[in-house]
Formats: sequence, C-alpha cells, structure tokens
Amino acid sequence: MRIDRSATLRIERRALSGLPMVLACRSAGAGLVVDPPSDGRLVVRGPAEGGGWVRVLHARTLTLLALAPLLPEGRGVRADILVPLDLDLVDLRIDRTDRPLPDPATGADLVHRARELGRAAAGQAAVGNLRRADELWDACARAWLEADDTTRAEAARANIRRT
Amino acid sequence: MPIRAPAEGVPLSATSVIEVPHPLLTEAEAWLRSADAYRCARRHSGNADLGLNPDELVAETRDRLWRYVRRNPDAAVPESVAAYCARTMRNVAVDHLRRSPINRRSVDPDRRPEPVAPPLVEPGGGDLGDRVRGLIETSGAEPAVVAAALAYVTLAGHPDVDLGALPAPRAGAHEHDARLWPALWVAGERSCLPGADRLDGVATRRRRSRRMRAVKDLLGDTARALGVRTR
Repeated sequence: MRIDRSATLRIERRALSGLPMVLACRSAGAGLVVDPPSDGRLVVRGPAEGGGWVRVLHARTLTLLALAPLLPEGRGVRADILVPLDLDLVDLRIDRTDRPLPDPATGADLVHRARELGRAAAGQAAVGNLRRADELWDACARAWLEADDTTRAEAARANIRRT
Repeated sequence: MPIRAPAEGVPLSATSVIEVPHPLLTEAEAWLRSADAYRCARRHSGNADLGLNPDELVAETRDRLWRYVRRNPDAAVPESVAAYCARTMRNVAVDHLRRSPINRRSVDPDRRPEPVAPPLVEPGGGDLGDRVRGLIETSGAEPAVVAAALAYVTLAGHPDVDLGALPAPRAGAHEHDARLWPALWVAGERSCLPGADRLDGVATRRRRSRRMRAVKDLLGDTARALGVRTR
C-alpha cells in the first residue's frame, strides 16, 4: 500500500493484482483506498475529512460514469459504486469532491462541448493522430475550466502530456 | 361421493390418495372450470418467458391444490376460494419463471410495462452510453437522483454486475424495480429501502416510490431527448 500525494489521481496496475490501492487526490487533499473492482462493484474508502461525494470518470473520455455519496463507516467514509463491467481500474479516474455535478448556472452546453471535445480527442489519439489529439485535449481542458470543473481540466491537460 | 381426478392434466400421484371429498377441492374445481380461471391463466401465460399455455397453467394449479390437500387433509376452506385459487395460480406462474433458464428476478406476470421506460443502453455503453450519461449529468437533477440514474444505466447495459447482498425487491418484481433498488442503494438513498434495521413499512415504501419516480422521470426525459428506443 503506498500513498502518492503528488499526483492528482494515480492508478497503478499493481492494484489489479488484488491488493487494495491507495489513491491520492490533490484537490481533495486526502487519500482514497479503492478495492479492486469485483464484477462491476467498486468500494472506495477514505478519511472522514474531505468532499462528500465520489465521482468516477472514464479516464479516456472524462465522461461521468458513476457518482456515489461517501457515507460514514467506522472512523472514515465509504462509497459503493457500480461501474461498467468492461472497464478496468486503469480506465477510471476517481475524484472526491463536494460538487459532484456542474453548477446549473454553468449551462449544459458548456459541459456538453467540453465532453465532446474530450471524446473527439480520445478518438484522435486512438487512431494515432496525436498532434490533433493534443490540440483537442488543450481545447477540452480550457472548456472544462470554463465549465468550472478543474479536476477534468487537469485530467485533459495530463492527456496532452501523455500523448 | 368421492371427487374424481380430472382425466387430463393431473398426475395420478397427486390424486390417487384422495379418496374423500374435500370442500376446498370441490369449490376450487368449480373455479378452475370457470371463465375467470381461464382469463387469469391467459393473463399470466401472456408472459413469453413463462413457457406455459393457459390450459397447462390451470392444470398445474389444480395439481398444486390437490397436493396441498393431500398434505393437509384438515385444511380449512378459505373465505374466498376464488381468491385463494387465483393466488395459487399466480404462485405457480412465478415458480415457473424462477425455474426457467432465462430466469431473472425481474419478471412478474402480474405487472404491466412501466409507462416511463428507461433508455436502452447497449452493453459496453459506447457512444449512446456516453450521451445518455452526459445528459443525465447535466439534467439539473439533484446528485442522489443522478447517481441512481447512472447506476441504473450501468445495470441496464451490464445485467451481470454483481449486486451481492444489496437490497432487492421480491422475486418476480418488475425489471425496472430490480434495477432501481440497488441503484437507489448505491446512490445513498438507504432510508427508502428495507434493511437490517428498517422494516419495509408504509413510510419507507412511500419514500421509495417518490425516489423511484424521480429517477424514472430523469431516465424517461433522457430517452426522449435522445430519441432512443425504450423498453
């Protein structure tokens, strides 16, 4: 078990070996322990301090896959999440937050645009058009910032560096 | 005069030991031969997963009643034999569904299709799954309803997700309810579901009904916005 407080969110393939995995979320400032998914069920545990919700995003497209409240369990909190069976832990980004959904004042159009840019960028990266993918990820990051979702903006920026 | 077993549809083993008339069987036989019984059987056998035609369902019901009387020769006659027989027929139908190879706890021959159907999400999600989730996220609904709707979409696309010991409706409940119960649970809406420390009382059921309606409305709105086929 290792804590990495430097990364926004770090997912290690080692977790797939069956060991619990420690994730650190810089925006939340607290570690989350994620049990490896078992047949689509994911259990996330963490300290009581921090955001009250867990968001699960698709790592590639940043689509919101699942949302669950963190409920008290012992001294900490726990969320039970259902995720699509065909996704591994490495396909997921897990984020602890107090604002699980876009502010209604933000406008759905902004969020749709940011998500579509992310999907387009992922599509370009998948076919090897990395330069175009980087451009789209950059636009996607700006769009998420505009939609006031810094977590997804950072994730989009991280994808630029990756490609 | 002893009751004779009907010539067809009743195994001999179920009837051969009955040698004296039993008032329950006398009245039950009258109901089983009535148009009401046939209508009831036709309604249950309308479920394609049942695998029984109305005549077979009537025969199975008769068989069950005879076996019951054989085991309980002193059984009292219910106040309403017709209601008792109709209930027995329904139980026979549900038991058949449970035993069928395509058994899903979500099939109930007594229920009609829900007026608001959820979006059809193909396994794996794909583009449609992304669009459905995107619309749900930006619907403006409260987080718990969004969380339940997202869980519902996952369950619709992946019926094999392990629900473990999550709360579930009674066997035979409607498919949508079978998804909505665990969806509400993961969304943190535990107070509207029965649990180890909570009975399924009237208040709980009312709360559940309201929350389920909110999730169904969101799913219905999403389906309509996308113009996707619903079921």
